[in-house]
Amino acid sequence: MEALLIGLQATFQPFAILAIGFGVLWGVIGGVIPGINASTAMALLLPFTWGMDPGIAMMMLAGVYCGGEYGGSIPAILIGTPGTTAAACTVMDGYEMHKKGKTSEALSISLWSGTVAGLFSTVVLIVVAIPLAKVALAFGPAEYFGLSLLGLTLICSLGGLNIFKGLIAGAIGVFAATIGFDPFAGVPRYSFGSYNLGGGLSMIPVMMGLFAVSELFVQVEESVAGENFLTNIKEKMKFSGVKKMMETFPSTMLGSVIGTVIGALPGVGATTASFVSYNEAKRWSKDKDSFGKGNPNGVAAPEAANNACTGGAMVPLLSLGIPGSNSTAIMLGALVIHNIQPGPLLFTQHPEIPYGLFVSLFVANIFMFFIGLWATKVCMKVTTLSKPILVASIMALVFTGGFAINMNSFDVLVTFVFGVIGYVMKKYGLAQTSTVLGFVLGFIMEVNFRRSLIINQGDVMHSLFSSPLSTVLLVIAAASVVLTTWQNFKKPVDIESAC
Amino acid sequence: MFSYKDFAVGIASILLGVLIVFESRGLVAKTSLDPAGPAALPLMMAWSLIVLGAIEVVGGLYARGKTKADRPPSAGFKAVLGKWYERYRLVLIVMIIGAAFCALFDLLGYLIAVPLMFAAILWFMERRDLKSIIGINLAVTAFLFVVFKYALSVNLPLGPFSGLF
Repeated sequence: MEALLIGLQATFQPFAILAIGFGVLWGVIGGVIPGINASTAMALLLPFTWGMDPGIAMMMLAGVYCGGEYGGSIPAILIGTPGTTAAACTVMDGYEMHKKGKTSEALSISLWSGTVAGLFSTVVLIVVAIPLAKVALAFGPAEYFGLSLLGLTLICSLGGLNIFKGLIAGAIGVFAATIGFDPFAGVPRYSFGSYNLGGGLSMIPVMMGLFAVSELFVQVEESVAGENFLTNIKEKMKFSGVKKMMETFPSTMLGSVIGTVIGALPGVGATTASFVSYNEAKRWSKDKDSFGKGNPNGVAAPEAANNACTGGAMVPLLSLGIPGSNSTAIMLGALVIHNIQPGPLLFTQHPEIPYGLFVSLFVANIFMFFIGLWATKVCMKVTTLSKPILVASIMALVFTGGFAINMNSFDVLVTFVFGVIGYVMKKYGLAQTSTVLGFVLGFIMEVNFRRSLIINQGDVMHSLFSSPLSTVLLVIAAASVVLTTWQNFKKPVDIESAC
Repeated sequence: MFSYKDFAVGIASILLGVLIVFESRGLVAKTSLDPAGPAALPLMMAWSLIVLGAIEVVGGLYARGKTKADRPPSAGFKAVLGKWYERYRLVLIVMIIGAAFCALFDLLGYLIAVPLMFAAILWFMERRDLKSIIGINLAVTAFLFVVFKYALSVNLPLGPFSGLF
């Protein structure tokens, strides 16, 4: 309690509050811009923290982290372009809600669930930081493999009427993730002699191509067919009522728990959390068929999960000094440049930093709600532009965002090529989400399976079932495949219109 | 479950699978240090693509046969091509504009390539008011340039304008 008072004292100073507010605003802006994620926005602010008090610097970076994770959902809903990789899942139902004229509702749900999840994960962080760190440490390669396999089971339900198409799309994604230098042998794979392909494909250009560019092509095609442009909606942002928010509350809480736990696992991240959460929300829903067609729970679950990761990710950073993601690695860097060593001793040597961070995460999530409300109002105006201007502007924005990832024009080409691939996939009823899911989880799955094999000297069974935790995860994954496939055969879901 | 389009999906899937198998030949084999080897997962995916592709081909052929009686008689290759061209003409043009942008991005630089792409899209999408093309184009390009170049420190290629900004 005394420690929390120290945190409150450190946070409720005018300069600290200002820094958190600015951080959230900066994060939201970064999240909204495709190609700039939370960690990039944090990295851009890192040099400015040099002259700051380390506690305030950490609070500002925490604000950027919260704002960045949320901001990605705004373009995902409004233009079908995820601003961050973690918002990819939000496109599926958020964009569909927007097309149906439920823009305000989708944006409200994303903001509300993000805020609730952020606050939830902060409470969890305060209460169980140390015990949760022990759970994170129990995750070895076999457990990570099981977790990624569990996430991949979503592919089975994304094939719609034809499950094989979902699997084909997923296999393409997993294969795409293997392009580039092999992480173990160091040899180039499927690079066809290209120096750029040797480095592998970046996630953001792949996702922006599959989701945004392909959607632009669809819009162009529909304009010829004389269909109305989806974004010509003259709706003003109004926060949907409490009743609407309560309807999605179970999904928000499910996402919050999943996000907090996955966020605490080093190297997994918000993208995996949002996909796993979406999968679970769909699995437990009574109305599975409406997922992918504009179900509010399909927005609440992934948004809650990726925002809950912010609190979860602080667990290994503060308690063990292990950065679990790029964003927390930047925070670690901010501490190191001030000659402060994170880890268990931080709580005794500099209590104002970890406890100040706990309180500031709370404040940041509240700021995020109000700044998010303002940002959605501003961003909604963009969608009232005429169709040709919007198509040209999004194309320019997406290509610039693609370039910004690695400052390499090859990524612009990747964005374009995956846009064409995504368009063809849409035409043939293949879900691009399966490809993205395969791409995100394929790498984690391969690396951890091979690592586990190395540890267990090639013994496959022992590699997979080396601990009760990995066994449980694999059993759930297998049961999930069987159950989803059975449900799909019994009552196939028509998602062709949605993908 | 299957539609006649699945035949094409199956063929494409098989071709991709075969390409992966073919390209995996040169990869180093598994070793005692790395029991799976670099080709394990890609090959697993390749064979999955081949098997799933074969299922799609068979399913697609089955669906074709089943819906043959319901399908209207073909209007002839020329008429189908004409209809196809009419529907996809603008998409193809936008794709060509996108491809040209990718090819010329480094050479022309951001400040020339983006306005050119922007103007071309507006022009072909029947927005031909020159005043608005120039005005909106300049506003969007300038906004994106300032945000990415100065606020986000992205080193955008400048082509002939290198050294000016």
